Amino acid sequence: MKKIFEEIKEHLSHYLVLLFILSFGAFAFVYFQRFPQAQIVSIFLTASFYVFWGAIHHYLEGDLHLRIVFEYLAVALLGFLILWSIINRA
Amino acid sequence: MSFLWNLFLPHHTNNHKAHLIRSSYLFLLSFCFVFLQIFLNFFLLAKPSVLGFSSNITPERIIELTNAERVKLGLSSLQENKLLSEAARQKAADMFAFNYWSHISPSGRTPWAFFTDVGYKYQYAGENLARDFHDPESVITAWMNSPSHKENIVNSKYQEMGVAIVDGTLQGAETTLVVQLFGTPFGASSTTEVRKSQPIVEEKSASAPKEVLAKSPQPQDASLVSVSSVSKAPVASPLDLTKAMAIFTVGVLLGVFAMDFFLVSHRQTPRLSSRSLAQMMFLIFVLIASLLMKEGAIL
Repeated sequence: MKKIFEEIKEHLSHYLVLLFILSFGAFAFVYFQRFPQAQIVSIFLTASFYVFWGAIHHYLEGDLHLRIVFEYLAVALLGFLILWSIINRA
Repeated sequence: MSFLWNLFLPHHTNNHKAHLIRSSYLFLLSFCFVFLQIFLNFFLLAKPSVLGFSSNITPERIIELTNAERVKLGLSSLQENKLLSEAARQKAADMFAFNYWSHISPSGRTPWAFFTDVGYKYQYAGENLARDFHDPESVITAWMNSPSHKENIVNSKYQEMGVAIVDGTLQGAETTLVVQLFGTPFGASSTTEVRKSQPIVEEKSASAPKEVLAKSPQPQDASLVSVSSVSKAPVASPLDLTKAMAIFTVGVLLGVFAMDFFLVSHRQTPRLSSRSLAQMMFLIFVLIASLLMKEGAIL
């Protein structure tokens, strides 16, 4: 846990922005519970903002590389596909 | 063994990054997830008895649970009416035929038209709709949690109801529709007295009770088809399977990212990589959203 706090403390403002993006995405997901298309849009936007956050964070840290962007993109795509599948099944 | 080690843990043999959380493996995982979903769709078509989209919902059970809710509040049980059940079946058939999920059809046909079509002259009428639920208890719970639907279920003006449960394809998705119609025959006196009959199912309509202005269609009891019931009981629902796959996938990835975060931090390994903590936060978002996803919809 100490490692986590150290990491957050080091980039507090960045993680607060990420927390806001994800919290807002979760809120929109729940709010649009009965509107599947709106839910899909909300998770698409959340995943997109997440990738942007990653790119901007590493740009500000001075270690932005295409490989890093692909890592964020891969996780975002997987998350989007998982939630999209669940929404379609519900 | 070394394959598993390289797959899950950062080590010098995998350049200090577990293979599973490399972008190439993550893209592959995404492809596998999509492939499994496609496979699930084919399996659903081939073996509907194993992976059914419907459940053990029956009109009788819906009626029983509805009346149980009424009895709890000291209201009379509603009697099942074959005309209302037929009207409910016709409404469900109309929704599938014209591909809509609404109380009013795209052509402007209201729920009340189905009452009069089957010859039910009503003084009060109401309609509740539900889709994609897997058990009757969830349907009733969802309706009771919705003030407008609950208002129908516990409305003392209603005396009868009919329920239809019909499978079909609606808006491109295989669906189980539950249509519940409430009514009070024209000329009957509405009463709030409690009748000590067996629990009867009753649903709440999405729109307010409506005064009957009906003409007098001929009763057609003899020609009515009873409501269709879903008797098959699939082993597992596609939603549950997809959720299980999602939770397993995200859970494993969370574990691998957590191990990566702690081991790399502890060893102070210098490397060019995404933030594992951020990836974990996004995966937790996916996990929470997956768990919050509820089955079914009501209208």
